[in-house]
Amino acid sequence: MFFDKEVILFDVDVKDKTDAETKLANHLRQAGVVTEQFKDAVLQRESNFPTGLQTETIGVAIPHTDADKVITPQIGFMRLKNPVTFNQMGDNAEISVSIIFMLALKKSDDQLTMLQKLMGLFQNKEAIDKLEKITSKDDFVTLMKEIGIEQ
Amino acid sequence: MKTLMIVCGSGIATSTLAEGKIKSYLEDKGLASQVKMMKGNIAEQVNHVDDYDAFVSTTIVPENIRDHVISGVPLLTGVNQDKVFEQIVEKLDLK
Repeated sequence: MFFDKEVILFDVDVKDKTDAETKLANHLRQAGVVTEQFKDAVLQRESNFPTGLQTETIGVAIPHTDADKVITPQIGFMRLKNPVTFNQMGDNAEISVSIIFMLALKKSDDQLTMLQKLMGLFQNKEAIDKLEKITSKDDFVTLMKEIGIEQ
Repeated sequence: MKTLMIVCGSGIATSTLAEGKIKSYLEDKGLASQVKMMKGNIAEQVNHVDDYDAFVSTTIVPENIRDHVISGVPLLTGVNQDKVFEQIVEKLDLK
């Protein structure tokens, strides 16, 4: 359900984090799952509250914003051709990010399990290796199902 | 009953995650019944840090309250997360 609009993009060429987030948010908008305000709200939030996370295996970002900009819960995925700099959540440290999961979520604790599995993914080296190599949307969705993020 | 506030930027994603992890930890240790957990966003709670026995944030907080706040980021990355649990237990003085 979180990937049923297939906003799944591989090896995108972007110049910085704003460019990456803009492209990904525009795709979510085109899929009809977020409101027109979503993109600006995500960018604003990223500058106030950065969403980069340096795990033991990889630097990722999980941009998101308030639930009122979301029509249907969905996750947009983007793998970058070349890493860009994000700031880390909590301490603003600069980190190198090549994988982005943009979360369009409603305010609900139902999403806890999915979020926990997503964080688990970031700490699972084998799954991250796969994520760095796959090239088709089908393979991506299969991987998300294996991990339990997608039902 | 001790009070624990957990905040992030929006009160939706990462505070929910941090809350889940802390809750499991407290349950495992048999301490959950001593703690009332609450969740919010930093904008609403920034002036209320001292209203709670402990305050965890997954997002950046202003300099003037930094010493009063436990960073919840390790709960998201898994790096050094045991330290966060220790800090919470110590701050709440759980036994």
